[in-house]
Amino acid sequence: MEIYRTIPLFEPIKPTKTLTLNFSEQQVEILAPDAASLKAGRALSNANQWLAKQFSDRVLWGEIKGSGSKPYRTQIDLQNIAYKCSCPSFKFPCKHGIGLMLAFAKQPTLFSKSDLEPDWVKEWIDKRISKAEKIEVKIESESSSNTDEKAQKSKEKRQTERLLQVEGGVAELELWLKDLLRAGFLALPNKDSRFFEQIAARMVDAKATGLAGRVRAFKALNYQQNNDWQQESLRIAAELFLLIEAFKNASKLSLEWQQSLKNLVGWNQSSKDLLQNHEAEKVKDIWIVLGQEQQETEGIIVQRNWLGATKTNRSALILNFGTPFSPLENAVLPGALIEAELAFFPSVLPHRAIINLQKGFVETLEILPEMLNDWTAAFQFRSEQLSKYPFVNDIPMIIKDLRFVLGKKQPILCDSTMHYHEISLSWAEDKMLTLYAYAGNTPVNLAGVFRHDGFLPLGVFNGDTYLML
Amino acid sequence: MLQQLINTALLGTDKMVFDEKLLPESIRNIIEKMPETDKEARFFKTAALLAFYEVSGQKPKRFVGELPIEIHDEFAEVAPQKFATILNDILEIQYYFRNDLLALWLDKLIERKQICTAKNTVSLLSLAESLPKKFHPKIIKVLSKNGLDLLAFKTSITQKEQLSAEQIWQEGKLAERRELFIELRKEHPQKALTLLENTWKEESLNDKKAFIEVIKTTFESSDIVFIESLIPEFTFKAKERKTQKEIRQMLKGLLMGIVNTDTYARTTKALEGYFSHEKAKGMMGWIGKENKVLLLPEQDDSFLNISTMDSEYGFEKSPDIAIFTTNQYYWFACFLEYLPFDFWTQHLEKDIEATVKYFISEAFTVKLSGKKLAVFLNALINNALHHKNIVLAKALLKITSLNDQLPLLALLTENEREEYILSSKQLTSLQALEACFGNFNGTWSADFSNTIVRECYATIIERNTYIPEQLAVFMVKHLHPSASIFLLKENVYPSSTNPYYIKHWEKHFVEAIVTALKIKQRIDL
Repeated sequence: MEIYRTIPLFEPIKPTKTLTLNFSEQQVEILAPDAASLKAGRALSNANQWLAKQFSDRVLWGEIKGSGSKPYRTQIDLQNIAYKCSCPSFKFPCKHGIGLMLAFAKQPTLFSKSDLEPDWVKEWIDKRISKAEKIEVKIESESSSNTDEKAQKSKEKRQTERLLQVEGGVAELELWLKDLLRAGFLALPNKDSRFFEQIAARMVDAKATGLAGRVRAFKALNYQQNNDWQQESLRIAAELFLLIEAFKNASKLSLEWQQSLKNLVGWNQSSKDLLQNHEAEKVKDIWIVLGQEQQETEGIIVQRNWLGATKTNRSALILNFGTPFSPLENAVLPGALIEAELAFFPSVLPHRAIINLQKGFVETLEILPEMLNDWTAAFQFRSEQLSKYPFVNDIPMIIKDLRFVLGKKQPILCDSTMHYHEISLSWAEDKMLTLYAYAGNTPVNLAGVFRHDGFLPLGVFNGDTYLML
Repeated sequence: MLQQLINTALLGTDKMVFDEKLLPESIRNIIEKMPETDKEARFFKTAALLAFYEVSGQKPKRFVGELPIEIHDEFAEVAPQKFATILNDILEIQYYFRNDLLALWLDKLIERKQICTAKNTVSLLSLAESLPKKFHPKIIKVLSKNGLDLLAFKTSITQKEQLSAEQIWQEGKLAERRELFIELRKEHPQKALTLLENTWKEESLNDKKAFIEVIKTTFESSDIVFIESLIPEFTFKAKERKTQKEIRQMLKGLLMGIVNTDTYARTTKALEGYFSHEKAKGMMGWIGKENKVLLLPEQDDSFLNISTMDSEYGFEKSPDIAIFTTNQYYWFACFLEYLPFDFWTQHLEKDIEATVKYFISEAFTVKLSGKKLAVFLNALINNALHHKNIVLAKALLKITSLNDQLPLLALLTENEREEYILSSKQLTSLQALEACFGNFNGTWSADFSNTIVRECYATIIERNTYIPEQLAVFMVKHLHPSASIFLLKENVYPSSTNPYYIKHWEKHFVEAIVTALKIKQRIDL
């Protein structure tokens, strides 16, 4: 039985062959909110520990004895990854959710398939579907009845106030940068970290958090190892100055540019606003979740999920944010093939997106995504992107026939024409070993992200399968 | 140009002015058209333009040199996903339990002639350094060719461990060669012997001794020809090295144990003279009953003398006169150890049990630190072990203390060992269990498994007594799978049980054993 949600605002997606999601252990590990939850989940990953364990086309559910008198009831939405458990944990997924998914990944044959979902499961999944539909309807009604002048005026007033605050911050930062240049960058290595933090904090006060992050990049430079910091600090300063200048002249630019610049300076992009925006670009496709990266900066956990489309040749970035006290709720399953409609935030180069509608998971890649032939094509592609939007950094791409070579300074990837590019220093060693163990010296079609300090490999295409590193 | 731009930034625009004439024409044109502004803003715009100019025009670098051209053709089959999952579970289990399960997992893959997945390769390589060295050859066997390339990068596992048996034999250190020899003796005894024969002449005396020691502990009748061929090399020489003598002793000992050898014939003929008839004691003596007894000379005679013992057998003088009061007693103990036990029973005209009793009787006992010590007891135990004489072992088990019994237990059958543990109430003694089942690879009977589990539960939970988790680790090797059900049932705790012991029981015995047994089952399925 094929089940997928239809939402009145959008055309229904043409049904394709979808399957009940088979998690891999690696995917479940990625979905775990933290190492402690994963460890606790592993302890519950023996299918025999679960008193009940079943699945339908849309849900996986189980019951397990906990510390309470009644067993905990755990459910996983298999079509739009989500979790529910009757345990008191505030983590998503909780250890029971992880344990159930791991048990399903490891011993699927011990789970029985049933189209008759118990009431407690049916209630939850039906509620999820109807809630999603209600949201869409609400969005439509909100957007159509958005004629409250008072609210509109209040919103405009807040926006004007914020703009003034940001402009004040931008002017201060411009002055700071010019003073820095007048005195010379040779003084940078001797600067206390408070020197950068003060101006970064000022930018946060001025609600220009994007600029604060760019100022902190000076602090993060390695001033001790060699002289690389000299060119790098100039690049950071020049790009920051360019952004300031562009922001000052934003009113003369297109709406897309204005939006992009505001985002770079620190305006948040609201998913709700995006869903309200009827003109927002939406792309239906079979998407490959190419890979994921998680970084923690200043107490904020940023999770980047890169997706590649198989038919439309688009790429997308789905961001998730969390803090150590409010773990990320993983909604994207790395390595999976999903049939979905993505909504893109308006930008000069639309890249950041959210999943607007997910139909389900796809078993095999029937159409391979477009691949670049070699590094020359990859550099050309990056130049094209830069010419459209000079602030672009992480560019997902798939390049054919790359060979992994351990270089002297850092590992490199060499193409069939004997051109090469360095691998990003942020690439984890275990992933590097996995790539070599998998491919050795054999050329592979490699998906990854072209970023400032090199290429970040994410996974390998082998025929119609994608192996995430 | 770029360097001058950097230098200007480093020194500051107050001290240095960037020469815009150095810029490419296209950038210069843009700069010139910019509205008048301060020099800092102009510099930053120039730097930004130049940065994007550089990046946009960047082309990939050309690789100079030679790429690694070796692309491995991998013929080995990759193990099914099931095994990748099992390995992940093994790596998650408590540290104490991990290695035994890992060894089983590796052995299974080796048996199936399969290699592990790329992700498993990384896990194994990351773990390899912290594993005992004996794991290295096994890990090597389950790695793909690409995985083998990573060995040097990630571990200190040497190339030697990747060599073939012949290469290790030719190039390895003694310990590596000895280990190989032991392994080969288990699976291909003839191949092992051929390997040794081929290089025998080039071997050092110490190495020769090490290999003969292996042969001694794994002796088979097919070794006789090789052993006899070595005798001329180790005949007595004036001013010979001690090792030469020790080897002679081992060779003669081995030959003495085989009834159809010259050494056996000559030795037994000489020893026969030390048995004589003696009038029985008490009533039996009155009715004319005579017993066969051993009468050892007090001093050197024509056979039991320093010269013969040294030159013929490599036996030295008594190493401890507190135990062996004369050399003759010591030499006799050596013969008692090596000659088949039938010889002794025949000449004493007693059955095995009576012969054992005779050799540990008062006549052959000394007092040491106030305790009586049967001087021939060790020789008897060694005889049972050397000849794998189960009847003798059982006779000895009846009259020896627990510590003396331990080496003999390995000779018993599986059922007998289980019975021994039950009757001697050694269910929670790791030492006794290891002595019984240390070299046993099988599974205990369901009843025995459940009895041990019940006894552990009673000891920990009912008697609030600590049992080390090492016992649980050992139990995992042999417990019957049905023990899992039994373990999971034992979850009712009396109020008198200390919570610490409940936690200890649940964590190390129930949770760990049940998980480990499940993993074992999944490996075997």
